[in-house]
Amino acid sequence: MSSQERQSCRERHHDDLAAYALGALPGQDAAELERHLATCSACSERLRWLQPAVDLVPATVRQLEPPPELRESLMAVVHEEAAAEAAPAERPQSRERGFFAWLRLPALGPMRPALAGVAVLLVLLAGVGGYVLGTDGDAGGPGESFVVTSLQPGVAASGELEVHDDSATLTVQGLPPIGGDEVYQVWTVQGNKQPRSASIFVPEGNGRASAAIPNLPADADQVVVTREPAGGSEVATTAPVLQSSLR
Amino acid sequence: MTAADLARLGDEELMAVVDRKDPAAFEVLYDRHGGAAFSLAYRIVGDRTMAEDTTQEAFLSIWRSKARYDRARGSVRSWVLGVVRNRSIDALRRGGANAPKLDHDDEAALDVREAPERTEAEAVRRETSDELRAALQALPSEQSKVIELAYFGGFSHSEIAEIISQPLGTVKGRMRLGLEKIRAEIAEAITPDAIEGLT
Repeated sequence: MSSQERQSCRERHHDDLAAYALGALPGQDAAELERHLATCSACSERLRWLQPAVDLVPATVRQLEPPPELRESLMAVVHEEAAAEAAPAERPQSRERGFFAWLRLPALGPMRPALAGVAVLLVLLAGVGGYVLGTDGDAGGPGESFVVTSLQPGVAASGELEVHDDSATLTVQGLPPIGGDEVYQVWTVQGNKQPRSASIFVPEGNGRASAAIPNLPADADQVVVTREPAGGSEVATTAPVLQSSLR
Repeated sequence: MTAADLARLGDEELMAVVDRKDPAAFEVLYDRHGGAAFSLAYRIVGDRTMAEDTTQEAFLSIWRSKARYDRARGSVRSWVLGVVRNRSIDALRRGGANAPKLDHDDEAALDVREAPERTEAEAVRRETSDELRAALQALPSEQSKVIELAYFGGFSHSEIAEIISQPLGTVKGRMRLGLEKIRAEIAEAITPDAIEGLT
């Protein structure tokens, strides 16, 4: 490119390059400039030179602390989707049914079947003991309350699950404290399907906690809570601490 | 790969692991850039709930690979913030906003706390951010205004010309002069390490 051509190019395109770098060039103009950039090294170089200035504009924003709930809800969705993607490969290997078919207890080894059996018995007992608080027995409808019971001997935790349309709120008290590297994780259970992570929470010092279940499946049978490593797990790794039967 | 291994990865290496749908890697990505993303979203939309929603939408878009990182177009941080900017401006338009949010009163947002400085790097970043903000404000107001309308308001050059009642050529010229000053006077005054940390 001659110096005269370079000068002509500068006069014609440099203002547009700044607008383009700022995302302020409308579609047709931007497309035309992009065609020019594909053939003009001087303008491409100029755009590369300008870009750091544009990249610094968001750095001028006053830095704020995002709410912890944002991270929790984002990671709950991410873990749920990662688990769902991994699920097809795992399903054929499973011969168990319900929540415990999906329970991963790697450290328990040979004890796992026995523990799962005890836990299943506890689930059944809890199912008999559980009942709908807010209705005459019609389970699953909007605005209903269900009891939440402890599945761990010696733990007097209890609570309530309030269902509103396709969401629910879990409120519990008497939860044992957990370490900084652990969370409680809420799961929804539908028959033999893989339990879906609904949310994670950390109880207050007095053992109270509440957690939102934003997308409660209409055909969910149970809501259970397990203790998991911080950030939650893709698949439950411990036996349930709490359970609420929706049927 | 352990959490410690992931934390030691550079952003570009980390993105390769995120692309393999590793939640732990994505968590590290969010921890590195979530604060800047939320701050930018809040600066654009001016509403805490909407800023949370758009930040979540942007990161889920990254997680679901709907937005793909291209190293040729800059750093991971710039790319993440670009995704957040686009989502925020879309949200602003969906909300029917027709006035630019040029000057949010951050101090008045009592429910939004400033990020604490947990590390020396964050303290440097905060200090540099303050310097940059002051420098942007030190630009002639007609130049900083068109840059802010374009970047934070998402307006095209012709919309800006209408908003400030100036010819299109004047608007484009102010954008160019403003960016040239930032590039020549500000970016070069900051160490390369600080720029890398910011972008």
